[in-house]
Amino acid sequence: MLAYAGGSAAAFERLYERHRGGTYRYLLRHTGNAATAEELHQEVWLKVVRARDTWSAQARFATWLYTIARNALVDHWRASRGARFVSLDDEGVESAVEIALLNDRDEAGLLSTTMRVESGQRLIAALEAIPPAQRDAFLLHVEAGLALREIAAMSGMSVETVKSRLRYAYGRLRTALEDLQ
Amino acid sequence: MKTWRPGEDDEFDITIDGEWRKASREEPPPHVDAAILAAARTRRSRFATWQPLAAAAAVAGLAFLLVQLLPRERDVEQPILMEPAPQPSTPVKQPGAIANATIQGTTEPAPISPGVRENEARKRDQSLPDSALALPQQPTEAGEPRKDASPGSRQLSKESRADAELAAGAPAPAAAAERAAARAESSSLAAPTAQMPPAQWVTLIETLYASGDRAAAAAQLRTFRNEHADADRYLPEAIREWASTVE
Repeated sequence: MLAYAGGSAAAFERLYERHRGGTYRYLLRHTGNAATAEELHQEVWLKVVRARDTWSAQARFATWLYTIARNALVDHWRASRGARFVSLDDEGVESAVEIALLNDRDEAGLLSTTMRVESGQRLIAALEAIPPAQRDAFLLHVEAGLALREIAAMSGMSVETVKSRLRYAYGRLRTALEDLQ
Repeated sequence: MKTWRPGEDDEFDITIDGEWRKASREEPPPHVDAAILAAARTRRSRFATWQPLAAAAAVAGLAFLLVQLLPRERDVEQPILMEPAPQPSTPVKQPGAIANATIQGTTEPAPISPGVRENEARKRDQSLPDSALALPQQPTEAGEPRKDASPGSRQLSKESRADAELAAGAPAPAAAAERAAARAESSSLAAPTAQMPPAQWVTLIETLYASGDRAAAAAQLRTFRNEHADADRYLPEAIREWASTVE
């Protein structure tokens, strides 16, 4: 990012190539809607472009990038018509259908994902069914590659809380795969 | 595939991570990538439009600095260039001196003030005996060792000193006067004073006067008057007025 701020367009292309998939999937798994994910993905990266001149290396680029993505997600949910605002830190919502309704999900898409039989598709379906807070911790861990400490710092939680959420998410995903063993 | 137990206390499950990465492979569509990269390049190209302006400003700044520096260099050289070279009223040909000065590659020599010149002439006069009047003789050839007594060698060293001063960058008229005076002294010491005809006295005094060495000319005039009672009669009209001021 410093190289990009120094005038290297190629540096931005390298950054984008490295993180484009992760940010898109992070947004897609949270929204469950490809069009919304694309829109948010573009918004996030345009913010990165605009922040080129003011960016300072106070944290890892990935941490900064996913903080922007997380904020964009929260703003999207806040602005969604008819949807009750759900914080990413809200751990009380557990029903997949309820989450889909609250988070502007494509219900038909959700139902189709539950019919998947392969383990990968089951995992995706299971992740969609868990509360946003656990899902967020899991996605930041596997898609962004952030450490527990970094996830805790960007979400304003303790490391123990993040660890607890991850444990819960992994447990649900294991359960989803159990009958395949 | 690993078998998991519900509630197992390992939040980092490598197998689940692997399965997740196999399943979760969606990528943003190409048109989104293109829009983002275009935005990034647009910002760069906007920045690039400032680069020629910045380069032009830098060049202008350098040119301004150079212009500011040039007068200072002239100021440093001016005192040397502006120093007027003392010109003798009668040109004295000193090809050797010019050649020496050229070989030495010296710049404009520092002029000797008239006061200093008079002091030097006075010292020279005091070192000479009053009776040292004789016909000028040819100087000893270069490289030939002198075997005679010290007065001759002393005069030769005076000549050499005058030449050395010329070579060292002394102004041509002053050095020429020195040289003429030294030669006159040398010749006057080498020959009996009684043999110096009035015409030669006059020529010597005229030469010293023309070179600007009035003190030496006056000294020679006094000596001439001592030797010849009617010395003033031989003097040309050009220096008679000056000669009337010499006691």
